[in-house]
Amino acid sequence: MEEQLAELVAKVAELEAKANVTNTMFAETYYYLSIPLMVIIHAGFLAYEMGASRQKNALASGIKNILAFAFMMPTFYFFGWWIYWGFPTGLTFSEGGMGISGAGYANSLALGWGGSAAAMGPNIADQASGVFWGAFAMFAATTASIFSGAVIERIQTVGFVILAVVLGSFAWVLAAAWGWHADGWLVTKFGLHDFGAAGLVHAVAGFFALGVLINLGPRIGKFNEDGSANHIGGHNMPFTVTGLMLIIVGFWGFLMACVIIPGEAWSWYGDKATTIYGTPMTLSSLAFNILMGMSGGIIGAWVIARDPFFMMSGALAGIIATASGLDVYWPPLAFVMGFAGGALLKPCYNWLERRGIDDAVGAVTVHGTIGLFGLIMFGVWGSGLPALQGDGVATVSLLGQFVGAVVFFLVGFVPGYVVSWLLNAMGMLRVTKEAELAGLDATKVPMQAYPDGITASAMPAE
Amino acid sequence: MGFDFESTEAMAGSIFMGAGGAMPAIWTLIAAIVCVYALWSGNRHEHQAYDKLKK
Repeated sequence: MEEQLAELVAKVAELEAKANVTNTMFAETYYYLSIPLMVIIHAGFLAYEMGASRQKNALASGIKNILAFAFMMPTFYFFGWWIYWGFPTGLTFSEGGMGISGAGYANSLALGWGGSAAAMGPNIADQASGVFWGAFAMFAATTASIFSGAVIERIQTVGFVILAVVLGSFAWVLAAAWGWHADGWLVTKFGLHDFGAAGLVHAVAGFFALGVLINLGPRIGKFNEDGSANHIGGHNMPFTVTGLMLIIVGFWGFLMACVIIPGEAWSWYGDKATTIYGTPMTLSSLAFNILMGMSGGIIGAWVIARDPFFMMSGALAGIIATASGLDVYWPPLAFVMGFAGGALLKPCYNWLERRGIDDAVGAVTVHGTIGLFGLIMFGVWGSGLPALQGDGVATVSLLGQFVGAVVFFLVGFVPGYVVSWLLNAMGMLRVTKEAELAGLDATKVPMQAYPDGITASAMPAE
Repeated sequence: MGFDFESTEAMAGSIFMGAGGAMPAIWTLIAAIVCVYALWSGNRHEHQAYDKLKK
């Protein structure tokens, strides 16, 4: 009998060990696969921006976008990851209630030297740090790509890269530390809930772009002397629209990476998935609400604008409008929120344009305005939801979401405005008038987008 | 840099080259310098291109 029991115990231990390995490999694979999915976001932004540029600037826009991605990885490695773990409690660098924040904690796992290096490079005892870092680095790159489209056709490449680094490896990370971390002061004190980063990624990036656009100014020919605006069409609308669809494909990776899966030492629960705040959720929640929100956004934009550019932007707006609560929205409400986001796009875009802001792709509106709209509205629909795992925690409220919206607006707008003002003063912001008129490709890119030109294959329909 | 593992059985914890020494910090610094150099070089190229167009 004892022998059989011992055999059974050994068998259970063996099965447990195998289950642990399977779960750990699943966890690692889950976040690892979110990374290439998020790279698709960048493929989308690349196509989107190049298509939205005039033919003479197509490659320069592409170079700018590619560089934003490339510089984000090392800078997020050097200091962005440290900011996320060091800043949650505010500017004091103190440790929060969960014990996973503060300067000491960040020093132990987010620096590329000393004892911390073990968590910042290949380590067979650590199958989480690299994939988490990779997913967050992709979030960072997404913010830079959001900003990138707004400033095409007249910004200097290096000035742009510096701004992208400020946004992607500092500004949004600060917002994430405060509002997307279990020790974040916006979460613990105000009950902020922003599951899919409508505010802390989209709004921060959108209003960062606005701060830059004020100093950068409009493209030559965008506005007439009486202040009325001209439409400056991109050279390839199919490319732009396809790019938008690719961004939406990539969003599934972005949003799956916002989920904390169960069963690991760092998980909130052994048996259920959660948000980054430790509140329970499922991937099915995302499937319901992303699809309903996205569809609502397309239809809302179609009802108001009737054109494919705004319709695909509406798909994005639909997801962003519901992103804060994709974990708990009732799907038909997500559809209505998405519809509202899509319908708001064109009027908000036109409002901004009438104020002399030349946002070439509508990034301020799609990501900034709609991001804040979604964040605040979640305070209406999601009031009372516990903001964190555990008892006696802060709960979601309209006030808390509004405070978050104000903070995210400032965390985006102020650095964008200040750093672009400094770059402008140093002559590193705007290209010369001659270069803008001649085209940026002819000025500084050693190849042509269309060496054989583009000829019309048929007359347009009457 | 390099490794002194006698076999794969000895590979536990950090397995990157230079683990536990000063080299990771030095390479981190070099990587940062490469980024700064690339930006400086890009800025110079860009401004030369604008100047050339003006002439």
